Amino acid sequence: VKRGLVKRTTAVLAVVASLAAGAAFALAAPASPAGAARTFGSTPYNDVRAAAAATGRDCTVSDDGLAALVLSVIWGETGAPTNEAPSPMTLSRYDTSDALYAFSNPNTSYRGAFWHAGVGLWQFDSAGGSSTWGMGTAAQSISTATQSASGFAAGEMARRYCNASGTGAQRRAAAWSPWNACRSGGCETVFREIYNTSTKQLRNLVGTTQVGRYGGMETRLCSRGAGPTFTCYFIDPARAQGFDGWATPGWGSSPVTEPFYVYRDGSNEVRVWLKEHTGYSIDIAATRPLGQNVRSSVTWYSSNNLCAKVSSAQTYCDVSPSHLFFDEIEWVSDQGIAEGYADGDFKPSAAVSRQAMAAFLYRLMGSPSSPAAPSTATFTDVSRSHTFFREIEWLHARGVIDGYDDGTYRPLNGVTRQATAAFLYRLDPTPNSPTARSTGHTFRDVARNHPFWREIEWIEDVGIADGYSDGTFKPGATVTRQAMAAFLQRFDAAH
Amino acid sequence: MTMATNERPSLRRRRGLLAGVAATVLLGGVGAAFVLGGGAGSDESDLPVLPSIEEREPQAFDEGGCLEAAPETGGCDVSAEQLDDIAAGAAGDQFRILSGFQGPRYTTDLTRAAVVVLEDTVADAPAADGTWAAQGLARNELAEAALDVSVSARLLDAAGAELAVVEEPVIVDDLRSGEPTPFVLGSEVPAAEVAAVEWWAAAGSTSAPEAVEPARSGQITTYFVEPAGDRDPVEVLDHVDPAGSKPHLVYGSVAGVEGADVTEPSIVAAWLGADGRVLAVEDERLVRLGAGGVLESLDATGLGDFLLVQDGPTASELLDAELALWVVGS
Repeated sequence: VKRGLVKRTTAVLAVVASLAAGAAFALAAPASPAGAARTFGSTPYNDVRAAAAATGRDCTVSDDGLAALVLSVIWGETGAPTNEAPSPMTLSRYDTSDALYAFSNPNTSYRGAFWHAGVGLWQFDSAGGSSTWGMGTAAQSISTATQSASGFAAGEMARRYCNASGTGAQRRAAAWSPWNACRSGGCETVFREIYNTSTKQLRNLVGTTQVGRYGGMETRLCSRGAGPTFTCYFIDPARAQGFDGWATPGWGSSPVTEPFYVYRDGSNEVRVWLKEHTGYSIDIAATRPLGQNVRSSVTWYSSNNLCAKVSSAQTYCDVSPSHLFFDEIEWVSDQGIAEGYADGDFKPSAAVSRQAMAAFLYRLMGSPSSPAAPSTATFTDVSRSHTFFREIEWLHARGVIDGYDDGTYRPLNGVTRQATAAFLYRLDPTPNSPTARSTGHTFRDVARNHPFWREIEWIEDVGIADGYSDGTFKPGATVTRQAMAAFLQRFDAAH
Repeated sequence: MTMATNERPSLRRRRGLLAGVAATVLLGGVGAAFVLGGGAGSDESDLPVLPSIEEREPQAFDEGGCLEAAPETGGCDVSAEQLDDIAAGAAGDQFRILSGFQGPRYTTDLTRAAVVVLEDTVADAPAADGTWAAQGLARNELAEAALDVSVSARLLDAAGAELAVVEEPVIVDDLRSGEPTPFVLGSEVPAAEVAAVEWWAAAGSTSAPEAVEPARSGQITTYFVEPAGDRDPVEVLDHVDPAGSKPHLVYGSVAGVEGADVTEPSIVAAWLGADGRVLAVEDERLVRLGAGGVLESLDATGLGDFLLVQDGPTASELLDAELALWVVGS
């Protein structure tokens, strides 16, 4: 990662704020040679120190000395200025090998599905082979946990430093030589700033709690379709904590990736770009065998069937807790009223068919066994072998639905909002007439002479539906699955 | 332009390695652990696996032996045991990460019980003066280590007449059971006259697998790859990129593992193109860290760096090529 191409000036106040918030470490008293204080994430700092302390070594170097070696490469590798904490999410912007582009072709319209080869504070690259970082995924390269990037870096630094001969500076240079950013001596400068060789202690570092162990990477629960769940990680450059100059378009020669998920599948690292994040017409996935160089081993796919969830409370891939109708959809799911699809989605914006609505209403009422289904089908297009025969006949027997004049029910037609109002009104055991407040008309597109005026006013009165912000009800609009969930949950709550 | 492989008896010895092998056996050196196959007399070779990754990098694994990006979740992204299995590789010719080797074509299948040329890896590489040359991989499919392996080629013209027979030692001296090695052959015959080639390989002698292991042991790590062509210049070890078009670079290290005893350690590299054929071959000595200079020996705690520089006609193809690496000693 190139250094110093973008300067930002936002950090001073953040540093003050972080200190006030009780950061894990604070500005140490500058000692000769004096250097500018460098901002760093508090948790990443503690992780590096813990990793250094846990790393065995075959020579004399203090824990803080090893931590200083490990820390010194970071500013150069991430490009972070001294007053802004380096981001653990940093993604490399140099490598433009064709293999790293979606479908190994830089000329597709999917340039945002880009496999950044170098990842994290130490820019670990999958060229690493048998090393631990070569065997890890992007998630391990980002996380500064000891069992991830900090541990990898400390192990490599200790091994190289202790095997090197020469002066201290020569040995440090040898420890750092795998890192491009150290070539011009910049890491030695940083080392001298952040480490007091007399006291053998770190110094000149300022902690901020605004940059955490994952640098903005988020843990998710993933599955392949409706299969078993596993831990995956969501990496979105727009959510990077700390210095994110690397995520600006002009920073390097490669594209900046769109948000993606990463996980391990058997012996592969898998990265997935879902169309809901990229805006592309397809999901895109790529795999790299762990331990192998992505440039010669990556395989691209045009689908993955990945289902990613924010928490275990989330049932459907496409309905996260932040969804406007999350509670209502979870409720209809918990009640057994509605199910998702085989791919793990609920498809909240999909239209509800008349046969599906019949099933939902039947289940809402507890799937009653009485009255029994008739021996002869009522509707010409809903035979006894129809999947929803029982549900449709039950609703007909209750007087909720009555079909069309030609004797059909048209089960695959979409359900309109006015029809839904009528169904629920008729299903209500004690429907009330519209109150005095609604003796006029509530919605400007549902006048008193509208054939479903009474039903629509009723569901507004009892709090099942409240129309749109423009004052309309849109009675002829098709009901979506998310709206249906809300109607049914509110209907139940009103009783 | 290749024809069927013929197995032939040993043609000649390259070096007097038997004495060295005997000395190694007497020293009792034992390299990396072996897993999988049944050893001598079996149709499957043992693999010289590296010590467990948890043993090599204990600080990077939690108490349960897990790499865990989010330790507070209490999960296990991947265990050391799983990583060891992944490194050893699946069946067949797939990529493996072993002691002293990483790359494709290291097999456990010894049913051919011979040293063979892998003809699907052979690529013509005519010399600048137009004479015939080729490079590829040979493989030891004996149950023992194969020493003094050579590869031979009979060059034929369009009428099937013999133009020449050429023979060269392979690049990796002591081939373990199942292990491939690169080779390069050349002839003074003009490449344009060669219509077909008959290939064969042979071992000068064999030895017990464990005898060669100390001189072949090491953990190979590749730090970075820089593509050939127009890119930012790199200075690493004693290499300074030239002005103008830059060469293809591979920078890495070899760390000793338990039992390693490699004299004059070198790294051998072969790049395989998308079709599996060898694009380039290189052999470089390991260098000392810090003060510099060549590394004279590599023991269990040693470490040496390597830098591979390729600026030949295939350099621009190497970034996307599959890289195979070997640790070898004298």
